[in-house]
Amino acid sequence: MLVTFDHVHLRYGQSRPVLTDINLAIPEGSFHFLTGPSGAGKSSLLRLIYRADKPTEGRVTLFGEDLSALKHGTLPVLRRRLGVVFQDFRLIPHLTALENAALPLRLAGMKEDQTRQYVIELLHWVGLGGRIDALPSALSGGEQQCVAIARAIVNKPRLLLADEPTGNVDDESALKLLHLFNELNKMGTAVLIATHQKALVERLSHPALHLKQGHLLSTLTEAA
Amino acid sequence: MGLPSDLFVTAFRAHRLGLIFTVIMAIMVYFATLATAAQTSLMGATTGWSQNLQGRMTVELPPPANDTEKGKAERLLKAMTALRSLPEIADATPVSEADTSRLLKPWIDDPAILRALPLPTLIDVQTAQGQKLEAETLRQKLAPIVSDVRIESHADGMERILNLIRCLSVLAGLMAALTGVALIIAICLICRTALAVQHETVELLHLMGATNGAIAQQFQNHARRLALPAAAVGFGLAVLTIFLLASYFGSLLDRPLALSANWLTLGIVTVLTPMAAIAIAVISARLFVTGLLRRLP
Repeated sequence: MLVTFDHVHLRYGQSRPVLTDINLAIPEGSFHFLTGPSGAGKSSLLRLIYRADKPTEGRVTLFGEDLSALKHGTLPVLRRRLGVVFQDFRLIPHLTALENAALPLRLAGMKEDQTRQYVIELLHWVGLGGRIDALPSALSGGEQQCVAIARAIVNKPRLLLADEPTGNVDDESALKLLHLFNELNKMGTAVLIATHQKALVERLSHPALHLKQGHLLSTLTEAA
Repeated sequence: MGLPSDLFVTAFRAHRLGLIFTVIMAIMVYFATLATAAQTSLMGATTGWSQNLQGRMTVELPPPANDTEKGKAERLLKAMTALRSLPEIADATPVSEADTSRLLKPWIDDPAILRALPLPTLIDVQTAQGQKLEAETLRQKLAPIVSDVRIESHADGMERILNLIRCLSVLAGLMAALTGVALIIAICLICRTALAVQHETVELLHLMGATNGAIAQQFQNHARRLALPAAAVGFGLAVLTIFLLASYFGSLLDRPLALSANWLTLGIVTVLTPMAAIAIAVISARLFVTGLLRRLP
């Protein structure tokens, strides 16, 4: 399993619980939607997977490693096998599309010519072949999200997490992005998309996990 | 191939953090360079003066009762013979009347008054290397020849002034150290603000698998790029100030204070100060950012 949640609870400070007794397992190569209204805990659940937060109770594993008991230096290695896409793209404004997408490879120490070649191919694949030198401010929302996806998958991750990836793009771009996620999944990357857009979920016949007020209503097994 | 060098440029441009960093760095280097130069000069001066004064004494032969030139000459001859016979004395040189008058000139400018005064005959004495001779011991040895002889040890008279200069030297060193501490605090505050401004970039880099060291390296590089020109400006202004002070005091004194120190030592210490400041800026940026990043989840 790529990800497992074992009786996971999450609460920020003394506030009401954000997630309550979550149990789930995401296998290799799967495609899941994580649905629920705003405030249901979708983003919090994703944050637990990429360990931006730690669970208040319970155990989360990623690629077989307990995220609450990681050895020093293990987390960066785990994160390099993970891609994350955000609703607000999080592109670095003064870097071009090419430079933004190349960041993970540069971090990994890949040579410049190899990086450039590979990232240009990837940007072509996401439909941005003609805009590689454009700054984020010169790109539409859909194009910026394509750059963000290129950046998330440039390292060939085993798992791609997307938090409301179509939240800031028009319907046409949303469909195109969904198509990209689907293609990526066909190439073997497991995909977990958090969204509150039911229409989006209905377009593809992939299982959905539904969160309501911090409770997971359907498990992977049930959904399948 | 590493991360782009301008990854955190936005953070340092925001709220003019880069400019603030540069100005603070230049001011700190200016003060630190002046302080270390002052410290080195004062240390050199005290060492030089101490060595100069060590074992130097002035023998005063009061004018004889009859105050004739012959009487004076006889007393001087006797004293010189006695002094030269002492193994502890390396050199004994009579001070000419002209030199004595020159010493008194700031107080008595009229040659006629000077000639009328019953001035003592002076002998400059230097003890032999490694010989310790107290003023009182020398007086006792000369007393059988010139009963009313007086001995003035130069070191005794200058000791309080030398102590004052030593204190000033320590204060200058302390000022340089405090400047370093202030620089560290300023850099830490600037780095904290820069991290807060671009916390999303930091989070993003972490998500991509960047280590804290790789992110801190970015801040370190940025600090170095800002610190280099700032240190050069601060250093340049400090050197200019040192030369202005040296020439000003040079016109007041026979010998400028800075010249009392070894120029080579002064040069090395002065050049090392901005380099040390750059090292402090770079290292504190790295360590502080690494420390802050460690606290992140």
